[in-house]
Amino acid sequence: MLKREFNLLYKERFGFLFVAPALLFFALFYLYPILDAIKVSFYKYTYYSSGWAGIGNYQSLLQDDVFLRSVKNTLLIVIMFVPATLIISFILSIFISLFRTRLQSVFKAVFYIPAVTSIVSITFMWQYLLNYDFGLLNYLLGLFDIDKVNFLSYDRAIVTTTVVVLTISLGGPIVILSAALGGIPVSYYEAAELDGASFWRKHIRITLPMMKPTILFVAVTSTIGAFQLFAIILLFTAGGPNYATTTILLLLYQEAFVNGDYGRANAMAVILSIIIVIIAWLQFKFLRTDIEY
Amino acid sequence: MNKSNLIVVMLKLLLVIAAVLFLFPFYWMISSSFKEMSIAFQIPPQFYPHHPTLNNYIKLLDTNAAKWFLNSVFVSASTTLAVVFITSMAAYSLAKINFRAGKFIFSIFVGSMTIPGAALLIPQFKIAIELNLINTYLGLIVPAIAAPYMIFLLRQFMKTVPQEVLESAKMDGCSEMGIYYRIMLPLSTPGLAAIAIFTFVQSWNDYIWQLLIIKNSEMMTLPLGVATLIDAEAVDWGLIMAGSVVTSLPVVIIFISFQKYFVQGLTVGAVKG
Repeated sequence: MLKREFNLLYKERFGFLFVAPALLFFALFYLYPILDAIKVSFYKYTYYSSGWAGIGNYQSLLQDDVFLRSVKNTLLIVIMFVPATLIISFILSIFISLFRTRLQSVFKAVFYIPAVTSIVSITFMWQYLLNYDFGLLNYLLGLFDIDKVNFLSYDRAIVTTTVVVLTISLGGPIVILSAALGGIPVSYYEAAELDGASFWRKHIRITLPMMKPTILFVAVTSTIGAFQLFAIILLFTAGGPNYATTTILLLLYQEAFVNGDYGRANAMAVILSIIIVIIAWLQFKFLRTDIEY
Repeated sequence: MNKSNLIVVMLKLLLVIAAVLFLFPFYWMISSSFKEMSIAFQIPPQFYPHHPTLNNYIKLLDTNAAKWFLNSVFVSASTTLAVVFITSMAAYSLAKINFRAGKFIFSIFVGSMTIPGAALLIPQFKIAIELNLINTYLGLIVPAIAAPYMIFLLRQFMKTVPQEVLESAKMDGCSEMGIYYRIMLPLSTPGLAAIAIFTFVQSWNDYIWQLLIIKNSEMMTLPLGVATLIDAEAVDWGLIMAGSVVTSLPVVIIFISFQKYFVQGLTVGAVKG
């Protein structure tokens, strides 16, 4: 019995050997960190003290107004970001499909360029454009006799940040949706045209249902992406003014690397991961039922 | 012209306008990098530099920018080589070798993709301290080698290589190593190109991890170094825009030259995900 098992394992050795190096790095920098984060979230773990804390970190977080604020901000960004991504990238990919193949790649490239640009460059570019005193956007508004706008004020910062993030994240969804759009047989549209369907009707009746699996994919990935937004916000607003754009990940970063409280920071990481998994799962569950008809 | 054609023309026009709006911030960044400091603050702004100057780029050379650039090239290129090597072996195993644990290992890789990278910064940072990786280039390269998303992408590519090709190679007495090296690698060149380019761009644009690892200016990469330019007392937007151009231009050029592979890489995950 044991011998047979060994024989089998020996036969399978190449599978293990080839995956082993990747598994080693993965275990060291992914798997162990995940387990360590969960473990430390139950400890008091600061510069000054350490020890078992049970659910103390979680309890203190759930009573902390700043943390609750960061949860609210995170959800707010997701709620603005995901539908906007879906609608804009869907519409733009339909517009792109109207052009010849060569021009299609040019447009896709244009919308994808911000996604490959360093966030440091993106941040500075927008901070310069949106500057209150000498930014181009306020100058242009002035030409239309509109008062100067402080785009990064307490009330506006989160919307402005979401819009900037949108400009750098539409490229992927546009490329993916365009590919799916290209895969829909032309004969479907021709048949609809014979029946006298209008431009919009064709796309609502044919394109939308045909692309549902891809739209679901974009919905799930952009939701996960929105929860994971971090570096761009840290650079763009650093969470300010007065916590107006502080998301869970920003607070986590401050708690860990400014305040040195690893226990609380890891508890935030665990809470965030649970939220992401639940929401991704719900999206799959609810959107999937409509696909199959 | 009938009504339907008119709609199409209008929508095409709308798309052109959207594309111009998308590119305009980049135009503004580039054109401002050729403006003198005083002009960059001027109201009304100059829509193009009336007296273009290279001063901002010359000032940039007075900082450590040349060193930052070389550091970025070195770190991104090394990371890419390591990722392609290790990922291609793993992807071959998970796509083409039939072994019981394979499915399980693959599902762990895929499942880990939902965990936000930033949530793992703390434990990863602790490991980096343990392994003495702080303020070293290895500290930037080694953690990036663990790339489940790249494994996932390449595995989807390699799945499409017909099993018969591998079987007939085996009949001819080709070893597993030989199949990997002589058959799988050449047949999955587009997939390898896609993960190489993705990894290079990702590594080049990384900021947070580099911020945690690198402590002195000499060791910095371009994004880190350019971000320090704004700490100066008077914010010199011309200089900062020049730094931003230098940081983003190499990857934009890479993107435009290899767009085909980007598109393949993005869609293979979506279509068969």
